[in-house]
Amino acid sequence: MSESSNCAAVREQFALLLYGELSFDEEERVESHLDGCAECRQALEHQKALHDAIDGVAVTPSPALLNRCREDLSALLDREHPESGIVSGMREWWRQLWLPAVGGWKVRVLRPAGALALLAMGFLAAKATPGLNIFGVNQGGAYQAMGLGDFGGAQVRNVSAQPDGSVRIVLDETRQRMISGNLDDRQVRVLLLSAAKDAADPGLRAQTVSILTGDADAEDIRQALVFALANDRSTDVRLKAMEGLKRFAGEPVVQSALARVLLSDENTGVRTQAIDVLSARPGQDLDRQTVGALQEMMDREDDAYVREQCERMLRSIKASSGIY
Amino acid sequence: MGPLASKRAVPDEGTEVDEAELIRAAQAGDRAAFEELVRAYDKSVLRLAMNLLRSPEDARDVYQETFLRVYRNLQQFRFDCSFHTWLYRIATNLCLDQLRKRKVRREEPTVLTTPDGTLDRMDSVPEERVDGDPLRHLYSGQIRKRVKETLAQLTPREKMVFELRHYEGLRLKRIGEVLGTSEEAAKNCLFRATQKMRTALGEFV
Repeated sequence: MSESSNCAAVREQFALLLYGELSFDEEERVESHLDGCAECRQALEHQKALHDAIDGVAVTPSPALLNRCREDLSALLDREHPESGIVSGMREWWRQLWLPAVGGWKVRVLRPAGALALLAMGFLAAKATPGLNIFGVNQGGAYQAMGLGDFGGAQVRNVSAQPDGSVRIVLDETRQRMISGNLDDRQVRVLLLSAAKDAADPGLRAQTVSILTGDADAEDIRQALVFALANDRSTDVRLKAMEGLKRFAGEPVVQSALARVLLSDENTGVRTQAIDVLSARPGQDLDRQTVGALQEMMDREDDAYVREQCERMLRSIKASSGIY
Repeated sequence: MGPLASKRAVPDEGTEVDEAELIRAAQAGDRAAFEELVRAYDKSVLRLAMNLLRSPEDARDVYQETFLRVYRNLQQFRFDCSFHTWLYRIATNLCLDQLRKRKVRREEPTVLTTPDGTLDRMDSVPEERVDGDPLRHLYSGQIRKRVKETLAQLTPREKMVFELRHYEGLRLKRIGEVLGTSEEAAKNCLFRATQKMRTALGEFV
């Protein structure tokens, strides 16, 4: 095969490479070609940029739409079984279901925190690209500088929660191996924290962040969640990170991250959740930066609900609703 | 007061319920257990439908029909696949039906012509806001428009596989299970979809 046709064949594999969906042999071929072809390495960067651009059109259903769906379903279920003894309580129940991302799910598959982890480690390194929000700012302190040095430049390919509460991690490195441990295990922890930050696949980052939210009492994990909230390009990842941080909305670092979300996040759903997390504890102390952000929001926020909540919060602390 | 103001009873933290237990309870007629299952998955079903169909009304219909079918057929669920796979199989089939119907009708799902001009129904959905550098906004707006156009031109199956892999983060093996096809077929589908995206968006990135 000529060099140019070889390049073309390799480039056709880039999308599947970034999704982590190539076989071992296919990855080997691409990786060995990339080692010696600067043009293809540049083309791979191009493909990563394309992935980021595609991330930008993801739609997050508004809380209002989700609520309407739930109310409609509730009515449908009432009609299905009108004799049900719990029907009378359904309306109230559905109202209370609002926004599970804030409320937290009880299903175990989504909360494997603190459980035994099983790690299936894969092969090959260096295919991940940081899923960073190019419009955001970097937060998260030391976490930002963290990497997978202890794992020989390996990259986390996939993570999944297991039915028994354990965590399974697929890791790309130079050979395949499997290790097991729990979230207190340093290796497991480093891998998860790294995957949340560096994995190219937004789905993998979202799943990792979901797992980490179960142990948000730990400072390093909170730092990772703050980083994801401030920097991840994926709306889903940012929402999941915020879910993990909601119990810590009184902490200055978290408050600051939420304030920044209000001012700079482009997604209305994320801003809506941020203001809900901030306003969930009436009477809590707000730092000056947060108060300033709320006042600024009164001028620039397009969404009526977010603006209304900002105003309510400012009223509750007897602050003016404008910037003077 | 906004619609969110009436809600928010935060569920008990740390109370973990095994999914299989919930399913069995729901199969035995426990409505609360069924509602818990809905709550665990409905946001992702709605997001999937919304991203695939790009129409809040159609996404709402798919949401209702999906969970109604789950409710009516839960007795037939035998744990031979995960509940998530089973649920997504129902939701994706309904979405595919919608997409195929549109293809037959040559429907333009998101754009309406009104006396005031053209209106994109997705404008009612939370969108990016104007902020910061206007040139950057214009540029990202152009990319977004092109991505939407290209997604609309994919075949229903390509669109479905792309959505499930890129936005939902499902592995191809799982996508094959959900769509009732092989991993290899899903992979080919994803390959075609990404090639089309690359061709259409090459000049922007």
